[in-house]
Amino acid sequence: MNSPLRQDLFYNDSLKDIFGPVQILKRKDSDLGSMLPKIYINSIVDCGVDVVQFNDEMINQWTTHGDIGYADGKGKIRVALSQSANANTLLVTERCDNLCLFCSQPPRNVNDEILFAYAAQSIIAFNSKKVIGISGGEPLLTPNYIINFFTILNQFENKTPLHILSNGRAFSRKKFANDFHELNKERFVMVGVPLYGTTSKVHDRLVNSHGAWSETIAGLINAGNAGIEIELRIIPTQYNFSEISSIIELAASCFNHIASISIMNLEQTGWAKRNWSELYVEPESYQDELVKSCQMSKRFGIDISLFNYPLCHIPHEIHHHAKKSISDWKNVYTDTCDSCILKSNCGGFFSSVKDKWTHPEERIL
Amino acid sequence: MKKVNGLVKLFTGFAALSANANASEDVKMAEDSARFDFLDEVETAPLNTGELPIYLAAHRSHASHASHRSSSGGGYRAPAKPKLKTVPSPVYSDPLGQPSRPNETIPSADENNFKKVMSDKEKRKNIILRVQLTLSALNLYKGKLDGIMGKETRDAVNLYRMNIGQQVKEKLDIEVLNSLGILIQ
Repeated sequence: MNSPLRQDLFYNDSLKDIFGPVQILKRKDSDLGSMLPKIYINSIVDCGVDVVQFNDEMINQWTTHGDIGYADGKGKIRVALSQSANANTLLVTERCDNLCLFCSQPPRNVNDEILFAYAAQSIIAFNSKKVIGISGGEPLLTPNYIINFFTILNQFENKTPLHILSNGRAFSRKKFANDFHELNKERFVMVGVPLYGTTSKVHDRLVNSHGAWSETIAGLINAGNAGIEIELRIIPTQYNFSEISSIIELAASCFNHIASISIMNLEQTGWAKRNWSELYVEPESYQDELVKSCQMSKRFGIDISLFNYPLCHIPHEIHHHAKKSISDWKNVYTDTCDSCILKSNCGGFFSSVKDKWTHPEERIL
Repeated sequence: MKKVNGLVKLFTGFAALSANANASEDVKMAEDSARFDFLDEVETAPLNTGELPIYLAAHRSHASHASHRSSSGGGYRAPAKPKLKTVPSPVYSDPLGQPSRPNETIPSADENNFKKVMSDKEKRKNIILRVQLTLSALNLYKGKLDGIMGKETRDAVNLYRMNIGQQVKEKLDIEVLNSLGILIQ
């Protein structure tokens, strides 16, 4: 398949010995008083003694002045926050208390608290008005860390809007939900919480953790009551595709502050790869349930979006619910897509897809 | 029985084939490895210090984290020790992977650079600020983020040192900055 829309990983000898978060600059910039170490790429003028300055056409092409990169100390750099990206996400921990069968980012039990410090420094230096995603692992696993993280951002009067992916279990502690909301009065924060079933049986099976459903439900109630904006996420699998509309009904009628609901087609990566045949269900086989679910949008006055569904896999009447949702660093289109008139509106495919179902249908739209 | 025999033959054939494949791979690896021999002479890790900080030692697997993603099992297996430690640009994109941190250090401490940076008022303040921020994130420091090395900051640094088994000291040093992921610049 074709290469991703945006390249984000580079190598340059001049970056040896540079590690951790750095700010990528194209010129000297006295207005940019960030605390991060800086590297100067393709600057026309000399940026001073003792600075890291070199020319690299590739890095120059794929970055914007002020972007943030994570360097590995051996010459590799990955652009973590970029103004030219369609979505920016930072990983703050790899640990998680769920073990979802389809986890795209399988957790590991490592001491990686320092990632919160990296993320805080990066967000402050990047100073974006656009939403930055916070992902894991489970970012709220250790409540202290996320509380400290917000406190740090607030001390720098940073107001970057954040979207945090969480299983919501931490909010089952009411005080935490309230503190969380209190710290973000000046900041737009939305928490994306997955709910995979109307019963603990289905949900706990899919997230592979006993008691998860109860805590997530309690968490959704507390978070909603505290005033935290929630994006509810549903991933249809063979276990739950028939109850998507029921999950939406449960959420819309029982929780507060459900800002939007996202139905997300499975991504063939991480653990989803090995559990693919047990989990994946082709969109064609639950079209009616999808249509029924999308129709609830009007009934409850909540946005309902379809993520990661190529348009040729869903009925025409719900096309307007489909979002171009795949991050540019892993988004591809097949050659056949070139002749499709809907390509510009279509989300395309994950670069990780490997099976034949991913090919566009023969009938090109 | 014949059938079984046939299968066995088939398998041996296959095994031989794949052994061949491995052999040619090894040759290629060896060639590649020779090509990058010069890198052994080059310092490859963040060289604030000459010693491997304990914190970072615990993170040895991270540099090769990208390989987790490409493994089809997707499990936790510790990554096999790569034959080529220093091959540049394995270009896997892994935005949600752990940022690599040093997994080896070379005994050529850059004390001079450290002293030079710390004697620059602005730079020194910036480093202290990042120390305070990082220790706050780690839940060890509750004070202001002001870039001033006060008692509270000093105590927090030493609390951190004790937590990870570094020697308690009066001042900041390269070792503690390295393990806090703070590049001296």
